[in-house]
Amino acid sequence: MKIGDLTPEELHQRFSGPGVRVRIGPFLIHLYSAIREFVADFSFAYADFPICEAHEVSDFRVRVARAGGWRLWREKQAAFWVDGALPFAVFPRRIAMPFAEWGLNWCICGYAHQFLIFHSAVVEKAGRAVILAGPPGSGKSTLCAALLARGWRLLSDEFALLNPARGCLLPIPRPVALKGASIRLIEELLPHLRIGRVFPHTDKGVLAHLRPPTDAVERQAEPALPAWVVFPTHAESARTELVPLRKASGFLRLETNCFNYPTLGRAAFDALGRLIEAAECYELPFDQLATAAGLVDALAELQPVLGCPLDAA
Amino acid sequence: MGDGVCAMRQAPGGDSVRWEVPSANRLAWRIWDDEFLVYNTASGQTHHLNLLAGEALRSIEFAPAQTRELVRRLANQFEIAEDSPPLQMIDRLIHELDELGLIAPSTA
Repeated sequence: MKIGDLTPEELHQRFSGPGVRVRIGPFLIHLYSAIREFVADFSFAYADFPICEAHEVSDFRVRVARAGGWRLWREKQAAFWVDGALPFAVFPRRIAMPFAEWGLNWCICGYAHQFLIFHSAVVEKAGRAVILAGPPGSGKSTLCAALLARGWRLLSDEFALLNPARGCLLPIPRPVALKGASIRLIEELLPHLRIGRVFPHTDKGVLAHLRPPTDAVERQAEPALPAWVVFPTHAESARTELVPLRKASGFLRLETNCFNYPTLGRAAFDALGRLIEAAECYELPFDQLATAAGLVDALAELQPVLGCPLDAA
Repeated sequence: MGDGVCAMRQAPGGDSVRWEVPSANRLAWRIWDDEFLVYNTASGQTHHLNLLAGEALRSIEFAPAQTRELVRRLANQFEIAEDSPPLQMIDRLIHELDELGLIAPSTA
């Protein structure tokens, strides 16, 4: 059963009662909330995600709950609980959905050390993945969306999850957080995908969530092999081109985008080394989005396909 | 993360010091062409070394050496004179590797 199979009233009863166990990539999130607006936003963005059985053990128990406190005189507040703890201050209830997404990011970065985790988008074609790595504002989400429009499969817009032992990337195709002007741009690029409610005043400005493609969610147990690492940098008047990077430079650049390299230590060095060994690394300064997407697309067209399908992780 | 050779100072202890990779520093390597990445398990740091620094460290890891012996080994390896410009920088290089905690005076 998927979240989208339930009616709004059923969703409210489940989320406010026993909670809903949602499979999101390699994680099982047990989510509770009695806040109707949040349940509606979450259920819209995660409509295609499967609901798991009650006996399955969850990785994180998350509760997005109403909160009191002195800030109530200004506006209604909410709190984000994880496994019985309250790691953050309360926040305005109107931004519960973006806040819950950031909270889930925090859970994954802080605890999922079975993976080497990079701040990057990942898309896949024919079993091979391109890691689009870079800081916020580098244009990786926009480029990721442009590649989805060209038939690439979304593995993630936020994290690359590398299995250190097997060397494959695991999908976690959560909703894509669109900011500011990119909301309109993505609407034009991906008219068949749906965008949720716009949140006008968040810590990151205007924000909306793109519902991930159904195909990406249905194939969220299918890993992919890293074949390319691309560091996009969007800049007005930049010459749009793929510039090959030396392996050591690619390693060091990707390491700076890794959340848990120091935590994993030697295992991280070895896993990242194997990834870079197998992948080609490029810088991609770009002004023209379509040209940039075309250059990345051409990598998959020009280089032969590996004939080794991966088992589900 | 250390990033190679940048300071100029006389190596501590002069020529009589025998340099080694301390036993606590188990090193892991990635070598691509003339670039070396070395991970020091003791410090948890990754270092990016150029060809000379990488080969010098590998040589000391293989067998501890005094400066003069190290120069001789590298001269043989690269087939260059012992007084050639790259090897004139060996004191500075040893100092850098020492500062990064990758090598230390031998205690044996």
